[in-house]
Amino acid sequence: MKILVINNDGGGFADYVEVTEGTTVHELFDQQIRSPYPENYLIRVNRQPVPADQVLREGDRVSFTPTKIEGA
Amino acid sequence: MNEHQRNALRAAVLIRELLVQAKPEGPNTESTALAWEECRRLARRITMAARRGWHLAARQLREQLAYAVSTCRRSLENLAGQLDPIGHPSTVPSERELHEDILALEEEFDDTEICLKGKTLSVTTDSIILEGVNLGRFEIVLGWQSRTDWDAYKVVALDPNPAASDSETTHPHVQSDDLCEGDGKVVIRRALGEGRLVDFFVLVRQVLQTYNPGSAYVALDEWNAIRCKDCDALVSEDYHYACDRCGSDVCSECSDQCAECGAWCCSECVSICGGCHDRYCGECLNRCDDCGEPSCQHCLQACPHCAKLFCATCMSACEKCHQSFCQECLDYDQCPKCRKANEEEARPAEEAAPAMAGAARAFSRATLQPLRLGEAVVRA
Repeated sequence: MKILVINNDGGGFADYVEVTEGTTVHELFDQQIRSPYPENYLIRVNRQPVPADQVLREGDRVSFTPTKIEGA
Repeated sequence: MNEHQRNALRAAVLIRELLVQAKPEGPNTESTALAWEECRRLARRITMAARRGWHLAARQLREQLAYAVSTCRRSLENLAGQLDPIGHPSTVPSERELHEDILALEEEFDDTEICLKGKTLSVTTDSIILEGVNLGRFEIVLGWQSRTDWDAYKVVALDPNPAASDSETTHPHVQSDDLCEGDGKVVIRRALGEGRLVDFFVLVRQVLQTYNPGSAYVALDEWNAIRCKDCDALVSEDYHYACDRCGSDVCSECSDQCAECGAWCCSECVSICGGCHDRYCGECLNRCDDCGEPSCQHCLQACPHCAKLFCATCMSACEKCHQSFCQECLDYDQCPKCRKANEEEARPAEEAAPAMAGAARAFSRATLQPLRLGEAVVRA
């Protein structure tokens, strides 16, 4: 199924990705971000905070935003 | 639909119009270039770490590089997608998406305001507290009057607690309501350019909540430090003084104590007595009425005649009474009193001199030629 992933880490990008049915938010995070520290990210599905074990659905909009972004 | 939802919908329509007008004609390569530059930067650091034998640092940097490469790959794929719009998200969101974004801001922020007249959309953060310093709440204001406004959002301190040394710096990374985005620059610009409003405001908030001590306008450990008026050094609250005369802030090294009243003063408010060379404040220091030299009350003497104050250099002793007088009151090294006394002593002699002269003449006549036999001058 296709979902929109918005990765606000680094350069940031927004793109559709194909994920298997039953993929949870946590699993998607591991695939996309590959960080061992999910607590360092604000994770939103359809603009809402969700639990990590929430199962994703077709057309969901998932965003990952780091909590720490250093200014200059 | 309530008023806020209606305003959100109207704002979404207007914002989309702006984004459509501003949509670049060609593919956007900026983010790809930045992502690639990040890869190159990390690769250089890995080389440097390996050369210096910093193996742990090199390993960590390789992990970062792996992530940066994947970001760069996705950016390239996105760029390819711009050439083939089918199957990739449009860079201009729909009115529905913008509307949902604006409504979702209320979940992320305490206060969201849509001003249709002023064409601004703003949110208010919670109080930002970094390393124990409470910087207060900030309002992030995004305008859609023009594309310039869109790119030049403002970060306004609502409960300002600016740096003591610079009132325009309300946050270590905010000066004159402008946020220096640092690591967040690319991703914030991208969110703005793609109209992802929630992402934009959340990203700005996260920058505000993160302190980067290596690149702040004013570091937090100097937040309450002030600049010494005399030496311009930054001094912490505990080690600065306010001049007791003018109120200026000075450090302990530059402050001097008046030898008379004990007031602590800056360099402009304290002077050295020309007589004893001690330091005095302006209120305890006078000036010689003749030469103008600053002198303390102990080093100034009053002229006994004119009562004006003079330094020791400008007074001389009367040669007769040996009291000290100012130069103006001395005349031929004599004070007025002694001079007058002298004059009075000299006057009887002068008055007696003509009578004596007459008597002498008369005596002479008498001795030479008496008036009559048996007559003589009888003095009164």
